[in-house]
Amino acid sequence: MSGSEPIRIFSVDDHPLLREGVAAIINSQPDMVMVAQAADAHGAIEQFRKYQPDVTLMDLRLPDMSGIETMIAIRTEFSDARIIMLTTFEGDVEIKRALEAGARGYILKSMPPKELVEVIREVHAGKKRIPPQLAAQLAEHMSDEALTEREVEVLGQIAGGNRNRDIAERLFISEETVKVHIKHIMEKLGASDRTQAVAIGIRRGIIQL
Amino acid sequence: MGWAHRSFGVVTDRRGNARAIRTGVILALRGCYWMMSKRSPVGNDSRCAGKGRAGAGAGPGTFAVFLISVILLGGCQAANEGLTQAGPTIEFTTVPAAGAGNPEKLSSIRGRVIAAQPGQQIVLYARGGTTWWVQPFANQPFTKIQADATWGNSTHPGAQYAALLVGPAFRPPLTTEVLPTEGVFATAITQGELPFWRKWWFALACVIGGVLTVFGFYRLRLYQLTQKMNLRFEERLGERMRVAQELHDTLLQGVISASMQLHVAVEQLPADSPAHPALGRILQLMGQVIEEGRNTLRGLRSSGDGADDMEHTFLRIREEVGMDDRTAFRVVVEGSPLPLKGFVSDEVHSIGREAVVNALRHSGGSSIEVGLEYAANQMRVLIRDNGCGIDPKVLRAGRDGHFGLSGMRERAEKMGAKFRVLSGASAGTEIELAIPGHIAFESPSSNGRWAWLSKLYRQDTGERARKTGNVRRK
Repeated sequence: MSGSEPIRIFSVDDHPLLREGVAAIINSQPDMVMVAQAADAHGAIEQFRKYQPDVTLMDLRLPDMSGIETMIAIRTEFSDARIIMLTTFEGDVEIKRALEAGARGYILKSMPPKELVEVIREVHAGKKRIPPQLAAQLAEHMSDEALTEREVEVLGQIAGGNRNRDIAERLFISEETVKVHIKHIMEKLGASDRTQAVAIGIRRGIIQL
Repeated sequence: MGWAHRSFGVVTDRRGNARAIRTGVILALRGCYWMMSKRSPVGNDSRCAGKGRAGAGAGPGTFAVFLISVILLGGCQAANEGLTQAGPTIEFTTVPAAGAGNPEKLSSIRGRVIAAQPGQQIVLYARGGTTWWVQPFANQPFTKIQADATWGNSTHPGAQYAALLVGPAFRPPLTTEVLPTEGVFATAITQGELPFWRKWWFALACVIGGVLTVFGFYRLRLYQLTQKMNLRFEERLGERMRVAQELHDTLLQGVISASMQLHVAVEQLPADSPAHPALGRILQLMGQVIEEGRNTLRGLRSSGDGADDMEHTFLRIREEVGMDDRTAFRVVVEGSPLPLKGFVSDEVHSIGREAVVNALRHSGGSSIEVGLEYAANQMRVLIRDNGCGIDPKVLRAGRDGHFGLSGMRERAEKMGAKFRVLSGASAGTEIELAIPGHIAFESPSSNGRWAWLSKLYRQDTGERARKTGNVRRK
């Protein structure tokens, strides 16, 4: 961590366009340099081993594994890896999971580039950083009852446009059980119908687009 | 079957009671006549007091009291008549079915005699057409009364059956148009038993069965429709998710990336560059696009913040469509806002938004007002502007010509709402969306005991509304 050395940054995102944008921002900063990029979880783990960057920008959604799982994989090997989640949506459930899994920061792609580079600098300096609007989002649902793993699965199936019967078949449970799960999901999320449940699920990062 | 048919020594059937009442009424009328005839020449002379006190007064009230007492007296008298003349009576206990005369067929007929003298016996008749035929056979016209006062024999089928209590010397006619009364101590006549399909309980069962069947079909149809709707709904949700994903992966990421790069480019421009303001504006626009895209994807619907916040949803339209300060924009809420159903709030928002955008772009007016009216039976959304109005030609040619209007109408009708456009050349345009309460609002009592009933009703009316909507659209 020397002040004169540029911060070596690693970007993981499956959207090439977005990597390009992030690279443009990073390379425009005199104290930062983009050392590597990866488009999926496996590439990310390999590249990390190879370059051991100072700060990693990780997309939440990757084609082969989720960003959070990838981060956990990297951090079991390199416990001091400084990883910032960089994503489109501010779902409290995702933020919580990411922070619990050891993320140092959490920012939205839509935030101004200035904020992005600031967060990178602060995380590089050893701090943790969540923008205030995300913290508020997190606080709002702090006391909400979390969905069980099964309920998350069911919600994901609903989002896929599946009928109760299809969900039952896919998850190897009875249709009645599916209905019970859906009822609990609705209650926990405060949703009044399936669309709303899915919308809340996405908004809160319980399921991903 | 179980009914006993009693005779009072005169010809009676099962309507004996009705007969007694009839007699009462006749007696009462007779009494009236008697009173009137007594009363008219002498006014309130006390001579009329003979039949109760009622005659003493001259008013209509006393007359009514008199009438009632006469009716009661008449009734009593009729009943007494029955009691005092109680001689022997005949009852039927088993009556064969009513049928046309058939010499091949014999059925059992049974009954009881009350207060019969020793040596008396029963003669049975069955009626075919207008003729009574002695039963069971012309050479066996008599039926013995047993020691326990019962009698039993067989009979050929007839429309009616008669039992006559006669003395040992009685010579019964083999056929007769009129039942003999000479030497007859008692007569009982009964209708033949109706076949079961002509019984009242069978008719009732048929009606109930029919109603249940119709109701069953109705429920089945309703269930099928619901299933179909659900399927469509689920498919739609899945489709929306796919579109959302697609948008997220391509458009949104691309715009975010472009915005990032533009930011970098702008920062690298010299501070006094004339391109700065223009690029700044572009960046701002891109930010808006990203934000809108994010909101749309995040919600899968335009109004993600819940149904009861319709006012804010509409207020936000101002920013969403980038309205400037020259246009006055107001949202007026009347009545207490009720939570809307998810899909309704969705549709209301997108129809309303489109109407506001139309007003902003095409009306040229200086003010746009959104009215949200909540009533128990409906939710009304009004979007008014004070602009130039819609060209009547566009309004009339309607559907095909003006995509926005027809789209709005179609969506409104699909959810069972009414959609109206009022437009005057100088009075601006008013768009009205009226959604029936049972379609629009979340029902608070959806867990109640009768919830299924109201749900049934609501689904039904919703479906009907949708259907009429379709018909009108054609």
